[in-house]
Amino acid sequence: MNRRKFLLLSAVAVAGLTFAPAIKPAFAASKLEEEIKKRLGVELNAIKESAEIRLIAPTIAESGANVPITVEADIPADKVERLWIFVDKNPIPWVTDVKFTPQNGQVFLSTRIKMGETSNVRAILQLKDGTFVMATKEVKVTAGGCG
Amino acid sequence: MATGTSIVRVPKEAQKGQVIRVQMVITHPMTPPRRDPQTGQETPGYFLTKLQLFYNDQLVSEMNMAAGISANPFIALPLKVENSGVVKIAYEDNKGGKWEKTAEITVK
Amino acid sequence: MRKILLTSAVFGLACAGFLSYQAVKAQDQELSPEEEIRLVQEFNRMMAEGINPGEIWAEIGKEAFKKYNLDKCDFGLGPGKIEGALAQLPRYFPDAKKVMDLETRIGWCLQQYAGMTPEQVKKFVQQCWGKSQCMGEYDAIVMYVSMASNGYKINVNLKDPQVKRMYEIGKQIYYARLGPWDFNCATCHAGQQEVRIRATRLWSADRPGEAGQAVAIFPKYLVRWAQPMTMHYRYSECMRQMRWPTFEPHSDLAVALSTFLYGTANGTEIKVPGIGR
Repeated sequence: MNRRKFLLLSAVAVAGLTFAPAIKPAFAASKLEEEIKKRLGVELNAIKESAEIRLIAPTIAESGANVPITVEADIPADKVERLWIFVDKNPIPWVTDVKFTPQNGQVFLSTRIKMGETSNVRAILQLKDGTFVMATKEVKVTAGGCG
Repeated sequence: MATGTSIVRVPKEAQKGQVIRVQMVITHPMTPPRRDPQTGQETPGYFLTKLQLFYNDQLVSEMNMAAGISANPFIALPLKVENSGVVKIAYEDNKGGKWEKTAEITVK
Repeated sequence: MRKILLTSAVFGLACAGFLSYQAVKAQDQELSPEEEIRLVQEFNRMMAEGINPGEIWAEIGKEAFKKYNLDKCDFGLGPGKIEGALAQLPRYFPDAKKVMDLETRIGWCLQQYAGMTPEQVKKFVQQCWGKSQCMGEYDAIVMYVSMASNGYKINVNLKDPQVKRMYEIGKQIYYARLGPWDFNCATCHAGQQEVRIRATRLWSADRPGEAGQAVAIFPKYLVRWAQPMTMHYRYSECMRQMRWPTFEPHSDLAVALSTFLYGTANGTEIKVPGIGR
């Protein structure tokens, strides 16, 4: 192989390595994906977004210490097993899970979560038939203002 | 001082079959586990691990949590009431702390 | 042939890289400052839903109120009467021969009826200052008494000459440039122009209603310290940030500022506790 070809191949290799991460954000499974696999027994990319479940969370959180989230779903409580909340970029992405029974009457949860940085928040509903539905919202965590 | 002090709020009255909101808030630091970067020493953290919602002593809902939930957390859950009764919220934390709080609902 | 293939490969990777970079950049779109402020206000509105953890302090305060004999304390409406008390404070108290705000009056009554010395009162007041998740009896008492005025409209009697005098002094202090940085309350909380710290729009005593919105919710539960903050603690923090001399709780300075602030807030409905960062 002559020098020119070697240099050209090297350029291609470097370009490939530089841009590859941008093309596919992570080659290895992220912490989030591992947590979901561990706790739900399915791959994250097998879970579909659905309008049947709604996640209400602020677009901007002035403080990551106390982020209000509300989840509600149209699916009847007796078809539901458990509601899971994950925050992609938290040190531990799993935040909470709630078991629902028909006596709840509906699927609803309102609470306050901690977020370390700007991240997606995910509400995943595990149904009794083994399927999952999800709602995702990105919350921007900013440094607070005054005080 | 008074970790584990809580408030439970429900409507005083409800219709038969109505789905009401049970609102609660409890004082708890919800401190995450930490690993001192210099000494390598780990502190286990201090946080609620479980909340149980009972109605007339029947378990309706159970919430597992850890330090990803905010300090002094607020939680609201739904409850379908068919008869009058007592809502009971039971809390547990990772150091064996246990607290309960009740509230009554009259169903017409 | 191979040269063409290699060149195409390099060109293709470069394009892919460029497009990915654009995609990543688009996700991080900058919000306009107005959008940011609106969204932060929306965040604060969402935080105020549900039950405010500060209310738990009022439950503790109810016990502490009795424990320290504050049912003997006259807040202006008769001994032990707290419903509506905050709404008519600060006011002149003939027994003390001074104008007092709520916290100063509590401090006075702790000396009269709970046998505390002024030093003990100061320690009691500052029990939770600089801490987090601190459940102090003083903060609990202030919360308990303040919440009893929820729904009442602030009604400081500015016709009383003593109160008016404190109001004017408070106003002077508010707008007087002091300390090594020449700061004052008005540096941040006055004027018609919008003053912002990052995405938080600060209230101004010169824009109608805003001082009221700020004070009518004190004590305010702060999520960053997981505990409530009283007005005097707030004064202390502001003055620390302005590099003013160390603030003394229950001082005449505090009463003067409270009279100016609550006097300016006349007509605002009390809604305690507030919640914020």
